[in-house]
Amino acid sequence: MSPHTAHAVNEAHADGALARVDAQDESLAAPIREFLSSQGCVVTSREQAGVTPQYHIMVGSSDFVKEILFSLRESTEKRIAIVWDSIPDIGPVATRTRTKIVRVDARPFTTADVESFFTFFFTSREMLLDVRVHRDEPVVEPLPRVLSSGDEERVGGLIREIFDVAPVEEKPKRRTAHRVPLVVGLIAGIFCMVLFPLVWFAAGIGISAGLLGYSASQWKAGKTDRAVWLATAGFYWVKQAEWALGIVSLPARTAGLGDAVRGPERLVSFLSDVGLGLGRLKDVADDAKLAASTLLRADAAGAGESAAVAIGRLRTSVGAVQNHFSLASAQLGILLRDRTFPFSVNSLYSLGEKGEKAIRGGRKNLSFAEQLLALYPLVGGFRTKQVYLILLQNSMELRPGGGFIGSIMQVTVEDGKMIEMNLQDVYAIDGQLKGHVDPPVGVKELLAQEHWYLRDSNWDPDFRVSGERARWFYEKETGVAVDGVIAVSLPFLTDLLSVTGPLTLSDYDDRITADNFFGKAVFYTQSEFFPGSTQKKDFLGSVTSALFEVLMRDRKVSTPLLFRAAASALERRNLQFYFGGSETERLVERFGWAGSVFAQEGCLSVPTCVFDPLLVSEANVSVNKANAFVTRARTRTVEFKEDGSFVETLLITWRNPSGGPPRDAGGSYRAYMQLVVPQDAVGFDVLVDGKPAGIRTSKNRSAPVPYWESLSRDDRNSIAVAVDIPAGGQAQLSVSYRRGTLLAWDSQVAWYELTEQKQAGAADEPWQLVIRYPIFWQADASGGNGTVPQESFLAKEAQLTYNSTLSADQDIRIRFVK
Amino acid sequence: MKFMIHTDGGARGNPGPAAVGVVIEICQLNQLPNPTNKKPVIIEFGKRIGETTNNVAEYTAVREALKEVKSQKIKGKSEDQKTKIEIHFCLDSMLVVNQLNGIFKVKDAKLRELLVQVKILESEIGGTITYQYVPREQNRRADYFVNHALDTLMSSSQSNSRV
Repeated sequence: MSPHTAHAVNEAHADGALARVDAQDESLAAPIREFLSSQGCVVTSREQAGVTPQYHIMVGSSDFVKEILFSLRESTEKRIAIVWDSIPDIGPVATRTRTKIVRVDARPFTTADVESFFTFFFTSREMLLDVRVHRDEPVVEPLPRVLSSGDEERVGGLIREIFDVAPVEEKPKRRTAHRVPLVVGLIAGIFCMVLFPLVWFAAGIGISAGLLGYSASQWKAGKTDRAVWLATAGFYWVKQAEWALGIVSLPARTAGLGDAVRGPERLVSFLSDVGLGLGRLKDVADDAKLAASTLLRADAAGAGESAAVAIGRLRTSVGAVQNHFSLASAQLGILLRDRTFPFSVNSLYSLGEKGEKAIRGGRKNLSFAEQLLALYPLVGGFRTKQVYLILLQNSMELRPGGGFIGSIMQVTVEDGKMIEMNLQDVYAIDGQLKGHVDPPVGVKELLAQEHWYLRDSNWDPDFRVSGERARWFYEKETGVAVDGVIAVSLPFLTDLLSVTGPLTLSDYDDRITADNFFGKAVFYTQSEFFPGSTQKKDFLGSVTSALFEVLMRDRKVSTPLLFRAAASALERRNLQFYFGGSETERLVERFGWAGSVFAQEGCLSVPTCVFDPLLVSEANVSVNKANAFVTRARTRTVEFKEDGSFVETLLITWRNPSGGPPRDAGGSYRAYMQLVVPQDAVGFDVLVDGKPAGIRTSKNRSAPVPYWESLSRDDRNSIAVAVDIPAGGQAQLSVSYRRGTLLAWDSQVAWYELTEQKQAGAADEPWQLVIRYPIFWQADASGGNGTVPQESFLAKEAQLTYNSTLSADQDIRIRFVK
Repeated sequence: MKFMIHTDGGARGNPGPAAVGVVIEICQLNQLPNPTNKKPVIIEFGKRIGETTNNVAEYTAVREALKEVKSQKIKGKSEDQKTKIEIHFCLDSMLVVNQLNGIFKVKDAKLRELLVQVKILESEIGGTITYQYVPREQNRRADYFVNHALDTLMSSSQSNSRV
């Protein structure tokens, strides 16, 4: 080991990074990351700033690679670019930056592929390697391999040597096989060498799988101590299985049949990573608890370490668990794909699929945690004191931003700690507004509001607009300039209640739980309701204050469950952030937490793909709490014609079972729907209960409900529809429009990506997607940003159907073949 | 005997786990289905058929329906009128209907194999057999059995019911 390498490794470990991987498509880069991680290397990504890697790996198109290479500063890192299209134009910049290039076909990489990349990277003097199956131009052939492909151990050893990292644990364990006495009787030898280890291996796998599965369920239930004990026991049995496998596989290896034991080895490796990941979750929970104490809990003030240190350690432990789960996910994916025993048995295959789904869910939550922690240094008030405005939105009276703003909180943060919190009634604040602000048409005419106030500021479906508006109103009304706005919708409070457990509100002499919260809120907010009432402030304010009190004082609150509630709220848009035009705003936009319209770009890395986003935003303009009762279901149908044009129809059905006062706080419901569609959507056809709705224009302002109107402006194409749903009745809205864009065919293949954005505060609703196309086309759901598996679609002739629940954004990419 | 048969096939993914749905109404010849004086016999079932495409599922549904017609149960009822069998298929697959009626060519090898199996069954059963395309809305019952079979993950669920 050279001194330089040792220093690099130590430094890399200290920084938490050694190799940097930039990928245009994460699914292609995953095997590379996993291979590096499996060899004990620390892998970082482009997004992690402040890390100086020693090795830099780029995966993507030549444009993608070129952009990175041009932006590189002078550095000594070794670089390799894995590109899947033409490269002549990156030759000069690659030479200048001493970057090795591998040309590949755009397909998932196998382990053998990855091995060949690194063999070339570390051993060849050539600068170009071409491993494409279909080559379209003469290229430089790679040098003969120093290592034979497929020999994972040898390449792994080589890479470990180069990175100078300790060998992974399993290797020495295999050597335990040599400790088995060599001189034994023939029968005892067979038993010891084959039968007993085989039984022990099977027992180890079975017991460890059971214990780890149970441990995962205990984590889910928030029982951390028991979960850790089970994970430790499970890991012990994995090691037993690993030991037994070392003995069983010895004859096979000796006979040169190493490939035959790859499957069982992978199974052990998978369980080992699950065990390690679950075990290290304890560190995450402990670190999170400490960080939360530092941030929120008054008794931690001034004691112990700083918030920044606590958060830094939490980030490290979350990253470590994420690595283990990432490896486990990759191993399980391969086991399922290859139907390796025991997943060749149907029932165990289904179990494996469930496990894969659970790991995916866990990784998703950890990603949320990583993102939240990345946000913390920017919003923690480390440079200057930060003041935030929190909008408490009552989703029982739905508004585009998430619900009616009944109460607000002003929170002050400094040095990573919350130092002040004030809860206020919105009517008291609004009463301080001097002057007149003209409200939007919907607020003015349907809510009969002459002036515009903070309480109606979340009228725009885009929270970047609504958040800025709320900040503006708050400053005008109170004179306080805030650094950011956070919108909290009612379902998030329910989720928090399910974490904290029941709350006792002494003012009301009542006990509030997650189950009765909505009912109690309806009850307490309906009684003597009128604008200016303090009843509403008192109830929601009391609940929020009590929640904060519990979160700050009660050490028994489960931190993993708290994280999960926050992750769920962010995914469902029940928690949205606005930080003005700052760097922080760009970060939350990238995470998808800014409530922007549209929240994500579609058709990434496929230039010919047609993107088709849609947001349906509903506002309750009946001045009641009907949304506590009204249910909604929607069907989106996209019909393609042979020329590639397409027409969309959105069908929304409401049922309103409420009876209205005095029976309940609902009643007749009037909804004002804003539909944000792509810029080239034209030819709107709006039907309510099967009859054409009237059009409201500037010349025809007195159109009766139901009516529809265009709200389009330069940067957004949208329409609005006003619909009545009588108490105890139902209504149906159908909106059709056609797109000006045609599908773009490339070699008989066309791509289409659809997004349905969920509205903040809206309850989960049944959602059906129907894609229709000419009978001589074929279609399948294929990739995209979304995670909808192809098996979720029912394929019929010229039609794909997908039934789901709209609880978060839906993103689906379809591939058509002529 | 007259058989009014609605069939449907679908796959979750294409290809993917697939199922068929079959609804057979049996009534006396020269009588419309569902006469008021005598209720028709109804045989209906859904069945998972492994992983395949939706077109294979549509063909398989027709084949399964013909097998059912040929089965001893139904043959016993119609033995005395073997030569007077009329079968009328209603499918919501335009491609399969047109291929079975000889209007479209069958290029896919797997579909060609299934077409041959269907034709053999047709000749074994005898009588008049027609295939008609119907909109999906008129094929809801068969569609229900496809979805039911796929949703319940039953490997060979078959439920017969009479009304």
